[in-house]
Amino acid sequence: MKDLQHITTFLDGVSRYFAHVSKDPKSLELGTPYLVRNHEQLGLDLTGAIAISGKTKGFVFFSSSRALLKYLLLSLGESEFTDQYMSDIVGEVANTISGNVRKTLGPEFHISTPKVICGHLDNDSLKPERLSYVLPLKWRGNTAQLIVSLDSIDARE
Amino acid sequence: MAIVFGWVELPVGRGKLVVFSKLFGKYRFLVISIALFIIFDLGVLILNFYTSGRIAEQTELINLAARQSTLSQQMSKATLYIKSQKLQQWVYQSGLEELRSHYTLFGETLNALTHGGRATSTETGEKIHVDPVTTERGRFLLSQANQLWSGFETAISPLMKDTLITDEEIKPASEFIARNNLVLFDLMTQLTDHFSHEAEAQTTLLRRAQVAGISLATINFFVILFHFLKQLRTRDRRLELKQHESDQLLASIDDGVCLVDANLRIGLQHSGRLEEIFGTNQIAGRKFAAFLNRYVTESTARSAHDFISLYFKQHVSPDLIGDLNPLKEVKAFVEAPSGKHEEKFLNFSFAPLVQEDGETVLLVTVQDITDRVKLRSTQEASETKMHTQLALFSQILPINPDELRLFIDQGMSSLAKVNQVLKSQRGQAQSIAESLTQIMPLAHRVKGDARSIGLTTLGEQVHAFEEDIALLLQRAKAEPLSGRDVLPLTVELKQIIENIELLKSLCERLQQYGIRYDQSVTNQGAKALAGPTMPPAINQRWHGLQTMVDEIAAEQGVAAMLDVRGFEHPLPRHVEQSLYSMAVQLVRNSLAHGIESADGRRANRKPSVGRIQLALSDDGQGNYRFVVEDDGRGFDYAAIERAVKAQHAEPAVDRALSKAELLKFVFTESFSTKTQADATAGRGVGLPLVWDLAKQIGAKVQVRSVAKEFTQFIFLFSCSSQVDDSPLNAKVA
Repeated sequence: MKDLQHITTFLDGVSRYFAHVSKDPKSLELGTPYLVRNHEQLGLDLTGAIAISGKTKGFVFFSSSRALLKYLLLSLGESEFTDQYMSDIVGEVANTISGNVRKTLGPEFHISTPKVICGHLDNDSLKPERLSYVLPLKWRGNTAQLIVSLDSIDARE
Repeated sequence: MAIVFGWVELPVGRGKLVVFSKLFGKYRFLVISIALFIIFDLGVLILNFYTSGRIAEQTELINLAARQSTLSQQMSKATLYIKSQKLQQWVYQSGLEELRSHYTLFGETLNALTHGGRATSTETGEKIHVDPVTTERGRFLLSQANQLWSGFETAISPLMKDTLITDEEIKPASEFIARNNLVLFDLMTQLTDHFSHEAEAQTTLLRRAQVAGISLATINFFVILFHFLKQLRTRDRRLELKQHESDQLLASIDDGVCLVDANLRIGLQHSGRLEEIFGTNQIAGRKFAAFLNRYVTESTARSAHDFISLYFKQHVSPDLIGDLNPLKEVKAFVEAPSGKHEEKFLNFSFAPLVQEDGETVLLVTVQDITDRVKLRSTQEASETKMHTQLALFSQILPINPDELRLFIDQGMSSLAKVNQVLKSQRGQAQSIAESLTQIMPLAHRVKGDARSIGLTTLGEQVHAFEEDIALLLQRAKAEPLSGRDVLPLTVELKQIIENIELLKSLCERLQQYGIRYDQSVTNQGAKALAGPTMPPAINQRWHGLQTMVDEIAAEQGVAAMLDVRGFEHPLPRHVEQSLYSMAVQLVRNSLAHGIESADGRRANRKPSVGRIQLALSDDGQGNYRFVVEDDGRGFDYAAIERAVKAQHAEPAVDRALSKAELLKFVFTESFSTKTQADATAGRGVGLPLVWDLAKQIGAKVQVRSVAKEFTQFIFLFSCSSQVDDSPLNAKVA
């Protein structure tokens, strides 16, 4: 059940970020997690991607709708909603995930610097037939997703 | 112990001797050069001191000689004064005293210069010692002067006796002085000149000696300087050469090598390979443990620090602590130039070295054994994988390949539906419970189908999944569920799907290798399997259900025989699959609830082995009758009613319920007359699943049951039947 431990760590990172921004630990709601094939269309409007290396390999994506990012920028006191600002904020959430992972999972879990992607995800680096987890998120009525694509070590090894 | 240094024998201790001889040996030239420098300087200083004394003496002689000249003139002047005063009958006593004083002083000084002795200083007026003049010219002049002075003494001595002098006494003295005064003056002037020349010669000598001494010292200094510059240059060249050689040596070593000193600091030199291993050149001078801490876990770095500290403790033997090395095959994470972290396995070995100065340093050798370790772990992983696959192979080999293929298709389809339910869920707490209720029968079907063909491990996995759903549903009664609660289910779902995919890939590989599959499945057969109609051959799987019956019967402590009839003709694919799953659930139900134990059956005068019959028949017009029947204890309507009433508190059920109403509950709601769920039954999922499947093929359901005798489920349908979504209208016969 290492997948569960890892996903919980990623999710805690995102929750911590939104709890900090909105001063409400329960502001981020998680829908029912489900699975998608990697060849399917993944992601929302803007995505912060983190590559994972080490014993577990794969990617973690924080993908968000523009609406959520606008709300987020407003909460942070910004009045401009340019793509650059939105990219920065998506990258920041992804960074928070990285920080949480480093703190919780230790040095065996290596995480790259977040990369921001506009639009749907480029699936080239994912194994097309493998399954990824999609954790639907809602913050103040706006949607986002945490997509976890790990080469599971539970089932195959 | 003693060493001979020049002609001096110095007693020294052994240690001192070693150090001294080393120093002297190595710096012999320097010591000699410095000794010469000091000798030259001291020589000049002594000469200076000596000559300065001589010059001071000479100056005093010059002054004395000059005073003698003056005295000779003053004696003449005093004599003339006395004579003149006396002639005029005036007082002459002061002139007489002056003459006497000059006479005495001249005589004393002349005597001192000639024979050595005391004389009155010209500067202080005190008595000083004067050495006799020894130079030839000086002695000659003094001899002349003494001869002349003896005449002066004869002439002047009568004037020394009394305070009153006569004309007879003054006249000859005056005449003699007037006659010889200039000669005496001249002699004294020459003596003064002689002394001046002597002093000048001394000064010249001193100046020359100083110039010579200082020149020699300076030359010596430059010799030292040039010699040492040359030596330094030679030593630098040697050092450069050594440095170059050691650089080349360190660059060519395959392992990472460095030295660690007693302060546990890495030395200034290390092999090039060490930089490659750690991906940095910032190694020299760093604390060993702090450097390691960047690459290994904190606890490993701490252990390494404690371990290498042992090598610098005198009472610890390196041979004894070698086995404690915590850095054997240690895992390190090194940042590659691309920024990615690379996992490496490193082997550190340590060897203490004693240097020339007696200090101990630790030679650290680092080997990158990543390839070796990874190869080994790959071998281990592939062995484990091979064993797992062999176990899976052994599990799937007895299974009819067509049955397995059908299970895989059906299982994946059911699990895709499970995922679809999760995906379409909108996150409301109430609907999470509803979604889980929808998922339960889907999972139940997969579990039943898996066990029906002998996939027990997978069946257990799905059973665990089912258990977790049941637990969540139980919790949902007390508190609302969240997405986090469902996350473990999603993870389990992924594992189940991946395991079925693994089965699929194994199945394909078996086919590739031609094991058994070439006997039962031809290309044509495989195409038929994927087509809309099931070929008769597949219907063999119905007969294979006996295996499942035997397993479950053993688990439940009963014995039963399965009788399958009428599956010889092709059936539409979806119909066959639904019927099969329905049969699986109903057979499981019969074994869990219907067939009695051997004792129970004997009491009811039944054969000890129970009988379950599956029969499919048709009227030739496309109308089918599918019957599942067992000779068990029949429906216990009273127990069903108790269970229904325990679950429903509403007034609608607070009355006696008809058998048809009770059956409706059994087919539509999740409840069981079993108090404890197990892998076969107890969740009340089976019959709702059967009802759901029956609806999909548009079947009408009839149930006949006589207590203690039998239960019969009859499904009537045709191949053209549509999905029937109407409420259950089970007919109780």
